[in-house]
Amino acid sequence: MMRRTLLSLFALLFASTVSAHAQSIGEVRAKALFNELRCVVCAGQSIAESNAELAQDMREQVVLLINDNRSDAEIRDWFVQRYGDAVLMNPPLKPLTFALWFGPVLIFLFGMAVTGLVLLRGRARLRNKS
Amino acid sequence: MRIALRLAIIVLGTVLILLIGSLLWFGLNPQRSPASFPTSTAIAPDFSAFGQGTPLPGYEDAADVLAARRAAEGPFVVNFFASWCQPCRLEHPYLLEFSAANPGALIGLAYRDDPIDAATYLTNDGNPYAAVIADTGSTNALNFGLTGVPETYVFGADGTLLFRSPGPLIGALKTQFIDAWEAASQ
Repeated sequence: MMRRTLLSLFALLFASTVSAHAQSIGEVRAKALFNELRCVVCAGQSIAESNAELAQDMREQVVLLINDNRSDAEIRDWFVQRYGDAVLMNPPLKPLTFALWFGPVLIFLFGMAVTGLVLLRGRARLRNKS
Repeated sequence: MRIALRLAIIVLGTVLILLIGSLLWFGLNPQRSPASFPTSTAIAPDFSAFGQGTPLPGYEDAADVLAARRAAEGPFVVNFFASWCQPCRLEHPYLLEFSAANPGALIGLAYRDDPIDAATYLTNDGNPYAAVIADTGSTNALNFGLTGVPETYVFGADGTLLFRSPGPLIGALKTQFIDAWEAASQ
């Protein structure tokens, strides 16, 4: 009798951990999406970081959409349709944002090229002197 | 060789400086407020939950937002407000004036507001809205891409977004709103 109660207790415990795990998949997705969506009224904060009222609303909406079995891409699209690309923390790659994505790399390469040339010329000058 | 190199550096450098300069000139233009950046008319408000909300006590007769939209039969204006919102009080006299001149055209949604507080606000300061509800759960706010209160949307008769004011209808925003409304009404 005692053993049976213990066993059923263990079964209950196990069942509850399983369901908690199943729930946490949605939670993990929600947390990831919170970090990807910008709080549009805050300066450079995601809705995970912000406690603005609008960010709270947006977090609740993400959870609602997850519970509605929408995919991550569908949820992102849901917000982009209503708030525009600015709602994404990572701006999408498209002709308008090429300067944003490749600009820093180009400037870095240009700087490296100029530095390299200056150094090479300095070395050549030294060699000419000696 | 050396001249060609120096020339290349000068040309590339000039191009870079011009490029960065024009980006900064555009980006740091004080006329282009960062607050107005996401609030363009390029978004598509979702009307699927339009009309869902809580009626304000004492304003139950004016709670049918969808009927008000149909009755407008032309362009209509959706205004998000709240009793706790101070800038909303700045535009309130103009909203009253607008609704007197265009009866039935203005629909109000109370954002993150207690229905009783919103009703008290309208009773004390005057009700400019042909229909008004509290936007429970901020469903409509998110569907409209709201960034804050007050925010005002001008829609054509077919529901296309024509103008969006990301702040109180005073000063330049008021002028732009009037222009958009006149263009929509023609």
